[in-house]
Amino acid sequence: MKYKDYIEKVSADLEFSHPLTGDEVLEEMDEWDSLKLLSFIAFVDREFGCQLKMTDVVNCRTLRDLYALLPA
Amino acid sequence: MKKTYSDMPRFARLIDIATYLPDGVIDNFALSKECSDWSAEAIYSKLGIRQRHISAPGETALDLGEKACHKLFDKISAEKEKIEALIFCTQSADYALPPNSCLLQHRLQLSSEVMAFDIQHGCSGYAYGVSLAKSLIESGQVKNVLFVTAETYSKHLGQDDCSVRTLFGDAGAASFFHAEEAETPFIDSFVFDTDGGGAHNLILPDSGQRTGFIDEKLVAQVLEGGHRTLKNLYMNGPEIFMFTLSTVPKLLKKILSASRLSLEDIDLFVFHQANSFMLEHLAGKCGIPQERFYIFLENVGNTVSCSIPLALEAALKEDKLTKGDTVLLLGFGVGFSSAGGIIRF
Repeated sequence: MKYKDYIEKVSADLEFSHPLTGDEVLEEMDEWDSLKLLSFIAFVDREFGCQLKMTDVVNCRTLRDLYALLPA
Repeated sequence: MKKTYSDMPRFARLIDIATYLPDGVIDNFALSKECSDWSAEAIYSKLGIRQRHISAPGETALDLGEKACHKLFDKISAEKEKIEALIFCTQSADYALPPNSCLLQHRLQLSSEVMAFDIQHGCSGYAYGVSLAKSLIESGQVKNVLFVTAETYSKHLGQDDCSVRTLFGDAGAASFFHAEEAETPFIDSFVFDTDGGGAHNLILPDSGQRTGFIDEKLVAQVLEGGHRTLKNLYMNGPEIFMFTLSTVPKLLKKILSASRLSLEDIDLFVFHQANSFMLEHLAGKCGIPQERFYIFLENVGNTVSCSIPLALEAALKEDKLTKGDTVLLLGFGVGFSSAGGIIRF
């Protein structure tokens, strides 16, 4: 999945109130919480059919960082 | 040649279920006042829960289990004297010792010859108990089993820990099994999955003998944010979700394979009622049609080992489940531990 498609899908799927660039620092976003993380895990499972390792996920600061963990 | 009645093998059958919910209730409006980040509607839309029943101070899982048993005996009073085995499943026992099952035998005035033991399991506990009841009956040791699940997780939760207070509710359930002559088993194809490597993701850190040796990293995680102490439940939601995504579909396939059934042959799927977000995703991932995937959460929350019997009882009352139906049940959670199988009603 191309980055542009990924970030559009994540913005819509996770019901963010505005489109994202993916460079926003997640911990600084009011909308980012534990439920959003669960929704992201569900999104990856649905779209990519895989599960990420939480040890990798916690080192990611942005959605662009998370994209780098996904299979090509 | 058709077998005569007396030639037929005896199989364990689930005869009846009764449940008990404590009087205390906390709804989303009350919780949202305490959890400023969560609106009442947001809690419902994500978790599918509007309220949970909460045990009173001093009211324990043993009390809830006993009350469920009295409700069961109201329906099948003649069976009480025939009970030969009592299994009590809880992670909120009155004492580290003696076992709740012995205390309950005395309260219910069951026969002194009853086999009584506890199993310490959470969300997989109901499936474990059903499998044990089957084993005890079909090995010929006993003919009648009373299986009680009861939980008061509310007593384990940090008062400021909204991530778990929104989820868990207290309950008790009593299920009665007996030996019945039949051509084929009523309870079948139970499979198990255990991964103790995930134990630290759902844990009461300071609750047993291990307190002096708790991993420092875990201590930091548990205390992060100041919502809980080491005596409170710690739940790592994302790790648990990852575990269910990898384990539940595999276990479902194993059950279907062992029973030589397909998804289409199952009348009702009753999974552990974790929360609607997780359940709906799992149903979609496993290809289970919504109309045969039972969800019973809205007014009780996640009741751990009581969630499956509460759902079964509700499905029976709503006629979503009738005699002759084939049910696939599957529990997953603390341990990590998962178990499931087939019950024909």
